[in-house]
Amino acid sequence: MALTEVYLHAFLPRRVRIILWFITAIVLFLIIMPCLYLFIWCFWGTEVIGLLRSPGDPSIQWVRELLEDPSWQSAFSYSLLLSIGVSIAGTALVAGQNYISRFLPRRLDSFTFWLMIFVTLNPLIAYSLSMRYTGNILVLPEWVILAAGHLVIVVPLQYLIFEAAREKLPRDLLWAGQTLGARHWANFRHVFLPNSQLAVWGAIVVGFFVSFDEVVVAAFVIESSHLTVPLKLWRGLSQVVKPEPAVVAVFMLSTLILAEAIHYRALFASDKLPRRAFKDILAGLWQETVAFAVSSAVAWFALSPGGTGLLGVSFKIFGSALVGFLSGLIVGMFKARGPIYDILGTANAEDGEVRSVPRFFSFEGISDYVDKADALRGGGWVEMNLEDISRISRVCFARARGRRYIGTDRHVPSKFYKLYPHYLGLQLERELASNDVRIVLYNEHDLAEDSLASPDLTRRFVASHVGVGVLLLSVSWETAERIAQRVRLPSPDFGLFGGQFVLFFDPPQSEEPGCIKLRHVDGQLQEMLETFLLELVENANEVVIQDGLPVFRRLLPETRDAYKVSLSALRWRRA
Amino acid sequence: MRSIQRVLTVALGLAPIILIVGLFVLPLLIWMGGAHVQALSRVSTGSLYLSLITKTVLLSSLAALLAVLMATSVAFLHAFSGVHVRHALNSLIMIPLLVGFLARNYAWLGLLRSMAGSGGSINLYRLIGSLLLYNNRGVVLVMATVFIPFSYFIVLQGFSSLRPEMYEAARTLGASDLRAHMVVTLPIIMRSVILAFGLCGVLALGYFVTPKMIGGGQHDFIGNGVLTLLNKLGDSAGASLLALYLFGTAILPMVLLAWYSVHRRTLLLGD
Repeated sequence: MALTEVYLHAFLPRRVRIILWFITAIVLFLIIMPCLYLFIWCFWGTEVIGLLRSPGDPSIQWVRELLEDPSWQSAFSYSLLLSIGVSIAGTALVAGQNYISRFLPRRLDSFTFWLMIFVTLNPLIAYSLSMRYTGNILVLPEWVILAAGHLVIVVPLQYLIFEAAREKLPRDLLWAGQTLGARHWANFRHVFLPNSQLAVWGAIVVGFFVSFDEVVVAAFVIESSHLTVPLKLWRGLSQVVKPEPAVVAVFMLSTLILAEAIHYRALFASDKLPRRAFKDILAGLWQETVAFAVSSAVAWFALSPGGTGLLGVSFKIFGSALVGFLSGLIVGMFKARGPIYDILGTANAEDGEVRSVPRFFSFEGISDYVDKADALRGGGWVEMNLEDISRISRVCFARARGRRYIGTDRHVPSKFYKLYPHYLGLQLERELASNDVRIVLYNEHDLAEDSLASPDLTRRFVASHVGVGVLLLSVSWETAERIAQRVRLPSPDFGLFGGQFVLFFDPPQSEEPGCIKLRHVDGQLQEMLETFLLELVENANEVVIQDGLPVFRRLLPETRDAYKVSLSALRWRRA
Repeated sequence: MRSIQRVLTVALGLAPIILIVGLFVLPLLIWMGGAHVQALSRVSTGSLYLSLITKTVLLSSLAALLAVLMATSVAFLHAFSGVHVRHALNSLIMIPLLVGFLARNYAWLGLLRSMAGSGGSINLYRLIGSLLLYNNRGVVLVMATVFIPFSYFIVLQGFSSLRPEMYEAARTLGASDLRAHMVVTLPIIMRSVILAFGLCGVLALGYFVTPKMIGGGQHDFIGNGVLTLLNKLGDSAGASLLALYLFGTAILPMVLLAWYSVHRRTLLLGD
C-alpha cells in the first residue's frame, strides 16, 4: 500500500466508513443484481418474462434456439460486422490523430476535446433523425447511414481513451524519433504503437461493445428487415418475452472474456499444455462449428444489404466469409467451454482414484508414448508396464464415466481406445467387484415403449446398463439413429457411452442365424472394435455362456508383468 | 511531395473534426433546415413538447442526482480505502457495462415483474415490486443504476486531487475529521460531482428505452413522443420538430458542459 493511501485511509472516521460501506453494499446490489438475473434468466427462463423454471431444471434451450434461428443469425452477423468495422476504423482514425496532434498546436487539441464532449452529450434521438433525413435525401444505403452514425458515437469515446493514456507517452519521445530522422510512419509504428497498446486495445473493445449495443440510431435509421441485435430486442418488447436479451448478454460477456483471454494469452500461458491438446480441441471445434458458420454465412448472404453490382457482390461474399468465420469461432468457443475448462482447471490426481484422475491434457507422460508410437510408423514395439497401461486407461476413459459427461469422448486419441478392455476390467473390478465382461442383447421388440418415448428416458435406459461391458441393440436403422442421437454417439453404428460399448446391428438373416451384421463402421471404429473383441477373447481366462450370451471372465491378468505394447496396434503381450 | 505530406499530416490531425463536421454537424444542419420549413404548419407539436418536457427534465434530473449521490458514496469509500478494496470496487462497478444497456433494462423488467407478481400475502418483496413497476419511481431508479458507473469514474477523478497533507494541516489547526471533510473534501470533489450530474442529466434527456420498458408507456419522455409520432402515427415532420425542440433544450447545457470539461480536463481523464 502506497504511503499516500495509508495516510488517506487513516483520515476517515470509523462511523463514516461503516455508513459508506452500507451505502456501497446497497449500490453494488442494485447494479449487479440485474446482471445476475440475466444469467439466471438465460438458463432458467421461460417464455414469459418474470417467470422462471424450477431451480433444478436449467436449460440451454434458449441459447440453442437463438443461435439456430436464421433471423437471429442474420442479426448477429450484421451487428458483428458493423461493430468490428466501426471499432477498427474508429481506432485507426483516433490513433492517427492522437499521434499527429503531438506535433500540432495545443489550441487545436483543446477544440477537438471540446467537440468530442459536445458530440458525446448530444441527444441521440435528434441526431438519429437527422441521419435518417439526410440519408433519404442523398439516397444512401441503410448500412452506410448506420455505420456513419455508429462511427460518430464511437469515435469520441475512443478519443477520450487515447487522451486518458496520453501522459504515458510523452511527446518528447515522439519528437526525439523525428529529430533522429524517423519519418512519421516509422515513428508511429516503432514508438507510438508499442507504447499505446493498452489504449489501442481498450479503444477497440469499447468501440466494439458500444457499437454492438447501440439501439437509438438503429431504431430510427433501419426501415428494412435487416435488423441489428439490439433493435431486434427492442422490437420484441411485449408481454411475452423469451429470454433472448439474457442470451445476448451472456453472449456479449462471453465475447469479452474471449477477447481478454486472447489479449492476455490465458489459453497459451501454461507451460504444461502440450500442443497436441490444442490440435484436439481445434479438431473438435472445427467439427462443431462448421455447420453453424456455414448457415450463418448463408443467412447473411441471402439477407445482407449489399448491392447487385460487382462491388456489392464482392462485399456480400467477403461479408459472408468473415461472418461465417467469426460466428463459428464464437459458437465454437461456447461449445468448447467444457474442454477449455478442463485445460484451465487444475489437476488433483491420486492414483487409484477414478473420479479425481488427472485430466487428460495435464498428463505429461501421454505425449511421450504418443511420440514413440508416431516414431514407430506402424511397426515395432514399445515397452510399457502394467501401471502405465492402467494409468493411461484411466486417463483416457475416466471422462466417459464422469457424472456430467454423457456420450463419447472424441478427444481421446484413437490409439488409446485399444486399451479399453483393460480399462473396462479396472472399472468392473473396482465398482462391481467382478472381472466379468458381459454382453447384453436387446431386440427391437424387447425395448420398452417408454424407453424411447423421450431423450431423457432413452439416456436412462442406456445408462442403466453401464458397467455391463457391451450393449448390443438389434434395431431398425431409424431406431438406431434416434438412440444414437439422443445419447450422442458419433454414428448410429457404434460408440462409447458411460464407459461401455453400444453397438447397433441389423437383425440376423435367417440363413445365417449365428451372424450379426454391422451396418456401416468406418475405418477407425472398425479397427477399434476388432481390437476390442480380439483382446476380449485373448485376455479372458474363461468364457462361459449365460442366458445364451457369452460372459468373459477374469479379464485382468493376475501378475504384474511387464508388457510390450505395440502402440501402432496397441496389442500387448507378456515380455 | 513535402507539401502533400504536410497536407496529409494536417488532415490526419484534423480527422476527428472532419468526421464530426461531415457526419454530425452537416446532417444536423440539413435536418434542421428541413424541420424548420415544416414548423409553420405544426402547432400541436409545441403543446406535446410542453406536456412532456417538464416530466422529462424532472425525472432526468432526479435520476442524475440519485446516480451521482450513490456514485459519490462509493467513490468516497474507494478514495479512503486500501488497494484491494479499490480494485474490487472498480471491477464490480464495471460489470454492468459488460452486459449491455437493453439487457439490463430487460433484467429490471423481469425482476420487478417477478417481485410484483409473487404470490401470498403482502410482503416487502411484493410491495417493492408494485411500487417500482410501471411507475416513475422505477424509471428514476433504473436510470440511476444505468448512470452509476459513468458518474463513478468521473467523480473518482475529483478524489484523486486529495492529499493527506491537507488533512494533517486541518488536524494541526484543531479541526475534527468531520469538519476537515466538510471544508476540504467536499469543495474539491464538488466540481467533478457537478460535472457528473450535468453529463448524466443531459444524457438522460434523450432516453426513451427505460421510460418505455419500466414506465410501461405511462411516463413517457420526449424521446418516446418522437418514436410514437414517427412509428405509430407516421408523422415524421412532427417527430422531427419534437426532436428539434429537444435538441434546442439540450444545446445550451451541452455547450456549457463541454466548455467546463475542457477547462477541467483532469476531472474526466485523471492526472
